[in-house]
Amino acid sequence: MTDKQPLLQVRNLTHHFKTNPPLVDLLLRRAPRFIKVLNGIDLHLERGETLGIVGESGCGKSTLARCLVGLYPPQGGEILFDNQNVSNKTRAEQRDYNRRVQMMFQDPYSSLNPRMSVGQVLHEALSVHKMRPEAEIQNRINELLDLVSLPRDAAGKLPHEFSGGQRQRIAIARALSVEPEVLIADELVSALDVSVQAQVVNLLLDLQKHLGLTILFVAHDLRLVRHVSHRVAVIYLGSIVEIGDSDNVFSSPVHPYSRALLNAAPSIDPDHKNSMPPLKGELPSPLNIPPGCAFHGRCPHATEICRQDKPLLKKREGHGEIACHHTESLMATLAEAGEQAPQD
Amino acid sequence: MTNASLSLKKRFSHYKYLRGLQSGFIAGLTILGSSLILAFFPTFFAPYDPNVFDFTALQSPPTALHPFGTDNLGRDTLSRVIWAYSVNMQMALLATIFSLITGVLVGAMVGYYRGLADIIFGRCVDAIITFPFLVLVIAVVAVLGPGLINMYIAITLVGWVYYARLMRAEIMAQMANDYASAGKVMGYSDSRIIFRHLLPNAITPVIVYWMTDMALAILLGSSLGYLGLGAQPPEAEWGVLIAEGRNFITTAWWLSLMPGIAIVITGFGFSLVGDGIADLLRPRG
Repeated sequence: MTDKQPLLQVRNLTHHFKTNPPLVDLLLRRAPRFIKVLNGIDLHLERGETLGIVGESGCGKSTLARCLVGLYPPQGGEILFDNQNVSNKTRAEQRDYNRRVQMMFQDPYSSLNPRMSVGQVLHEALSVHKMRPEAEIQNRINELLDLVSLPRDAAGKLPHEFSGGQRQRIAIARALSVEPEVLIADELVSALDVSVQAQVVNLLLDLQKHLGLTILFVAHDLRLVRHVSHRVAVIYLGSIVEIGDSDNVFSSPVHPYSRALLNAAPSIDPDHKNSMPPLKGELPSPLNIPPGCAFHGRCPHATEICRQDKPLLKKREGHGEIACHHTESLMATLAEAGEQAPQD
Repeated sequence: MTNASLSLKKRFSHYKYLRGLQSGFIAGLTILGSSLILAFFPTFFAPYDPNVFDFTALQSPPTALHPFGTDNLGRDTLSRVIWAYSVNMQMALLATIFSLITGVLVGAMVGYYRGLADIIFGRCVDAIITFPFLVLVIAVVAVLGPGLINMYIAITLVGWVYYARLMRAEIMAQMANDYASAGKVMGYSDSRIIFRHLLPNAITPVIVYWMTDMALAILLGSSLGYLGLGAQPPEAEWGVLIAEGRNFITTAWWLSLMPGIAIVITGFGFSLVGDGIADLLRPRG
């Protein structure tokens, strides 16, 4: 993993939304408050891999995705693509970057312009980026429709004539039209029926195999993420708490939050007993992130150091990178539990 | 091209579910169509010259010779109402079209870019909207002087604000949709996103408002004519006609009533067409 140069690197990325201060705060000249959505994200994407991003609602998954494609201007930290810093780009550079890093959105009903036919959508993308000479565009549209398994006469139809799953295929075709290297899928299938989810996800995996795409797969469906991802990152309140190979993270999560999150996922196996009680307490407000480890208020293992120092991601033997002060003792108990009752 | 005719056909096939509204739309088109014909060819329909005095029939009530009666100088009211169509339909268009264009452009810009321009725009809008519309227009006409052209300028100076406010809100609502974000991620230019993606989806309420605004412009123009600030007598204009009939309202009711009916019917036509267009332009999802 270390011998290859990562395609996309994110270093200490932060993103804070400024709140609209109430009048009283303005009059008293109080400092504006910030919603701290991303608090130092570090990750990298290898060429051709799929990185899954999981976490509960409001943890910053979608903000991370939008930061990566430049929909939100970067505030802190840096994003390196192919060893080039992505921030402070001119319009032309940004356009070129976006040609190589594309995004697909969550809501299939709002991500397509309701007044443009599928053909027009693809034609626009192809002609603006000059992907093909004008004469070959029609051919390329047909190719793209074949690629996402839509009938060719779809080109003449408007988005409202398609189902949600078909619309996501159209969105995939639009993203693929500019022949990107990285696809960022922000909850690509969470609005779809389970049977359709499988079709769209398998299509995405096929395309990845054929086109060598690198995919960042943001989702809250844990089993789906396990199915598609080579590696997984677990996010809590805008920081990565655990990142590693998909099998490692899912079969033996170490960080107390990852364990709680994965345990909370329902299982259809009747013999599967939840080995730990559900998390206590509420997700803290991103307006007011707890000092130290953001998870300490809800963590059963928290001690004094957790309230003071923010743990950093560290590589652990046999696991991925984990941000927890008590990794050693947790790994020890995990090993013990594994010996007593071998699972998975 | 086949695509366009196909989608048009489809729109109408969806439209048959709205039969009730469709008949209203057709009625509105009929009213506006005949109003336009009257406006362009008054000579074919007016039985008399609108400005010729007939001293044998002074203040005649409606008769077979003068179906709408005559005024105190013997001018035929029907002919004057018909001749007024050209002035009043011209008002409906010219008093609104520049407001529409300016308002749509400004509203789309501030709605898309927000920032300081939006804050300044918001304050200006608040300032203009808190004044009664008619009072502001009268103030501007008073500065520029009475007359049709000055009236158009006055209405445009005040009226664009309403279009811009509507447009800004619609653009902002459309920008919440992911297709706007998708346009940015596709690397499209701002003008392409605004004019090809957002505007076509945001313009419908503005067009509908335009239709009602044209009806209002006729009313406003008539009001100003009535007050002596718009069209000047002896020009035949509905407001002027109503003002001329005011002194005789107890003895010659037809002088004010007939142009009043013309205003009502034309306004109704604009409203019906506005509703019909709203249904036609609404995308189906």
